[in-house]
Amino acid sequence: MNPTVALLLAQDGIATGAIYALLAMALVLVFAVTKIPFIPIGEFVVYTALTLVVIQANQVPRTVWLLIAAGCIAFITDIVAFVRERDRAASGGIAPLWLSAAQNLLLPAVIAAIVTMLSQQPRIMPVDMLMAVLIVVPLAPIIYRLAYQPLVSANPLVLFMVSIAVHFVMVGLGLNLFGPDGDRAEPYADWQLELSGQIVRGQVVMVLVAAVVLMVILYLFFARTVPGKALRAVAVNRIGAQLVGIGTATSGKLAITLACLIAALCGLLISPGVTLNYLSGELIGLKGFVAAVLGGFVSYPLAVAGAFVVGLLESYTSFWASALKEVIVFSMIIPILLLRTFASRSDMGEH
Amino acid sequence: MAAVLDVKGLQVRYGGVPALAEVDIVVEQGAIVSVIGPNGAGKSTLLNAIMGILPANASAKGQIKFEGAEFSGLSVEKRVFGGMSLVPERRELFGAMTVADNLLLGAQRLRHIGAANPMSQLDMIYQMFPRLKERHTQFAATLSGGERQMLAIGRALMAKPRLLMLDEPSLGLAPLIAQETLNLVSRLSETTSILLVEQNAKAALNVSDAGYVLEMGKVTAQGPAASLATDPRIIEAYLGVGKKKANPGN
Repeated sequence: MNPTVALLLAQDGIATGAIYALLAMALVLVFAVTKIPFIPIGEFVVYTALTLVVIQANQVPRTVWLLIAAGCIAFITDIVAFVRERDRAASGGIAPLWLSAAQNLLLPAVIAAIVTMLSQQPRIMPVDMLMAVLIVVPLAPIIYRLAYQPLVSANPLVLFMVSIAVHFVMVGLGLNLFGPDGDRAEPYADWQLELSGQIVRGQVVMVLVAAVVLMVILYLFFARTVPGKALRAVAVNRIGAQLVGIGTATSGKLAITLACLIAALCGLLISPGVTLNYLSGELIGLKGFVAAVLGGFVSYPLAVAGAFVVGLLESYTSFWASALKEVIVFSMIIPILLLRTFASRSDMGEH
Repeated sequence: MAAVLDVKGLQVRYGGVPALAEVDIVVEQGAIVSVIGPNGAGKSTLLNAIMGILPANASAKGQIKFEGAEFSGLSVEKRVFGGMSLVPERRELFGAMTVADNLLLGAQRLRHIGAANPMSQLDMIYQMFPRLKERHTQFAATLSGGERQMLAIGRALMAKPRLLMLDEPSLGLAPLIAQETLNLVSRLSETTSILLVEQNAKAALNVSDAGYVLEMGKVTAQGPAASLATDPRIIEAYLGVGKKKANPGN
């Protein structure tokens, strides 16, 4: 390996590391607020990327129909829940149902109408990207409503099993929606930079810039806004949050939606660089998981650091031992877990 | 006077174990009502059931009428938005967040009901507890016991509750601060009705309008606070005066 190759690999590693960092942060956020290990996060990356590919081919992506169908199911679930609660408590009007109808029926319909209308028009690339995000992200609160909200006080093990189920359902639907073939989107950054003799691809620069901007926005959201502070409050003390009126379901929905928005943006960022198919989400999501585990699933900065370790490791092993690339990345979790077990043994003894 | 809270036939079981059996409690508008009784009588369970924060293995039955509306079966957030506030025994503060943020989040109810200025209470809270103003940038976890109690009460008051429930507000505090807390409770009744659970029965009855004695999950005595405080059986059991001294004739 000569220095040029080493630097190229480093570039790649940092760019993928930035993506894993965003995913790891999203996973830590969801876990802190809801205790859900959100395995299907990788599917949101892939759904967005493949939806973008279809939009760029001037077709209406079939994810639109999935959104409409899922919205209808969520609305019916809300009606059933409403009727049941009404048996027990006669107070409260029909307002929650209107809200549910707006969110689960009207919003998907409006998005479908916009996408169908625009799909035949000449567009610029940011519009395509926005459309892909608009189709995929509203699936997040619906999935939360259907899969997780009924289990709001379940323990993480149950939530883990539900996550696996959601993951498999989304992979199966993905095969149906996008077909078995892989694809990549049109490049959004064709240019290159030359930094003291080293060529840096525009795509890498864009990924890094986007990742940093997103992290700053997330930081400001959590540090400065009331909804952000409310999410932190749930993570810090769930009962305390309930006592001031921060609903577990409301905050869970918000956390998952936010995480899926991050995942969708990751999907946009990587879509021109990597060929993705319906199965690719699994590995992407799991690597975000490894990064989050490196951070102990609680610390954002450690998760980000872990993500860059994963990205660089992946990049260099693909050069030296590309057949064993995934094995090496995932084996890394074993020493980390051992280390964490030994490190936490001292507090275990006190219980 | 209309009843703010009217609880009838409230039963709570943990798994199969009964904790409360057919408890009836009424809190009149603007009144301070205290619930006294030995450890394990179900006092905290009573407040948690009214607030809707019983643990997952508990089941509750019975009527909880709040300002005329049935509240049993509602989620905690709906009860908070309706006007209930609970200061729990364990305070349940947001330890890793600042004092100011704790208070800010206390106003979620006012944001939900669309109040013009959700933070209108803040100045009043800072006036009531100048200590909290001094420490507003400090993490809640770094406060002393008394300050944490102030913050817990302040956070609950940020919602402008119609009914404030306090679970052992003087627990773990130095006697002087405990007494101050109870004096504060009596001042708070100008703006809200109060349901108070207190170990220090004598001090609690001193500031209350009415009282209930809870034993083994049942109400065994009730009435105006003044008459409970002179009831020989209650004096003997809870007011810390020796048997012979209190009832020489018996």
